[in-house]
Amino acid sequence: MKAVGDFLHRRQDVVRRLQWSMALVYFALLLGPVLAPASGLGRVAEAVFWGVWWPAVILSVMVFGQFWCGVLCPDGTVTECASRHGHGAKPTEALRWGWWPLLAFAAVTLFSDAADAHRSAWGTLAAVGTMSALALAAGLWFGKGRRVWCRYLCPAGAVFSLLARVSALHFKVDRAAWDAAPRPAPKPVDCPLLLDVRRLTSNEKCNMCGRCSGHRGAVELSWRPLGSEIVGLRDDEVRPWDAVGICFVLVGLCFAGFHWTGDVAAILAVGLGLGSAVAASLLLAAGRGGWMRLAYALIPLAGFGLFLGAVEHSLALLERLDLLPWLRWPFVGLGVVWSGRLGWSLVADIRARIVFAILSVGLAALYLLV
Amino acid sequence: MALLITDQCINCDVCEQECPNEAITQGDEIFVIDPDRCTECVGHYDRPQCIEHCPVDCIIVNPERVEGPDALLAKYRGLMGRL
Repeated sequence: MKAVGDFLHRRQDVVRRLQWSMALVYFALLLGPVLAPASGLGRVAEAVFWGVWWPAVILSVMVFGQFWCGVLCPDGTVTECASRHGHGAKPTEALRWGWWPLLAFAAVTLFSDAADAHRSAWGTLAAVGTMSALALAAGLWFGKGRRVWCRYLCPAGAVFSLLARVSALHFKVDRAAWDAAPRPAPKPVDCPLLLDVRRLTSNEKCNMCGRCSGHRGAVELSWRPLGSEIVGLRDDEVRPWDAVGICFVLVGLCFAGFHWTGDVAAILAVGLGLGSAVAASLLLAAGRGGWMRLAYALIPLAGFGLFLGAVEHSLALLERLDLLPWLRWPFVGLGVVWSGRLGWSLVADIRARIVFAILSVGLAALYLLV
Repeated sequence: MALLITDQCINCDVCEQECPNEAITQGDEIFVIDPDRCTECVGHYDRPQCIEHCPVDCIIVNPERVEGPDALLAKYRGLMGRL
């Protein structure tokens, strides 16, 4: 994989062309249906945004990491470009507050599901276009050629940064090689997300743009054992907004949003109810000292649940909902096994393992049957 | 006053290359500033270059090394004399 990472580093000209081509298509599909409602672009846009993009990106992030963000995302392209020519402010303490992306994602999900945004050009423009406008504004204000939006604010990033924790690819940093390299370095490490690459151990915010690949001969794209990041989480990497996000948003709100479209009260009630049930089960399994860490073990199952919810819409667009059960069983089955294995590794107590197993199977039943 | 790098440092290498006094080096976890070499860029620039170029605003005045402009200028002259 090293060659792929090095290619991304070496051929940023190719990546830039790809990014702007993607941005062009994106803005055409976002604005086209609004400006020319009779053109038929609305149907194409709905299929691309909600039928192809959302499920494909969810799955790709879970398997390969956030390449979408670093290599293709139009909002990332726009915010970085704006940041090169903007005010250049540095990220503030308030901006670094870890809950922002999660709250923003919950708000966007609630709005788009309650307003059935994906069914209309204006709804899509309001849900997706607002994020692009904010990404542009963040770029104009913050950073100097950086992606402050992606690091601290992007709503989709809230979910992607959870899913990427279980991915099989990451940029591996050899700390010893980094420190042994001649000083000073010929040039600073290039990370548009402003990550501490020298001490990078998590895929959480890495956009996999590849620009750090080969830096000091210490950074390379590598495979890693599935779930190894979850098993190896340090105490300071276990975060309340992640645990709450997994229970109440990734599981609760997303599940409610997919199945109770158009009814805000129902989405909130189901989302909060399901999220509370999941959090309570984790508390019962691992206690106050361990429930947040155990929540990470649910990422594979919850991620596949999210993927299946998104795919359901794709199949509805294709009028092939009859295929849904065929997709549900393998993905939910894989999710249960994967999450179960992670949960097994994270808690040693047999009672905790049983509670977690019951939680996983219960959640799987929900994904299969509702 | 000498300057201090806080734990918000992202090890980006930028400050080390900007420091005219070679006061910044890689520490165990983050970059560190040698207070005996830091003049806050007095004698070189109007503003501390590490603060100017740091992308994350992680460099502050070291509360344990409070020095006035005259002391910083004297430190600068001392460093130049040694070079």
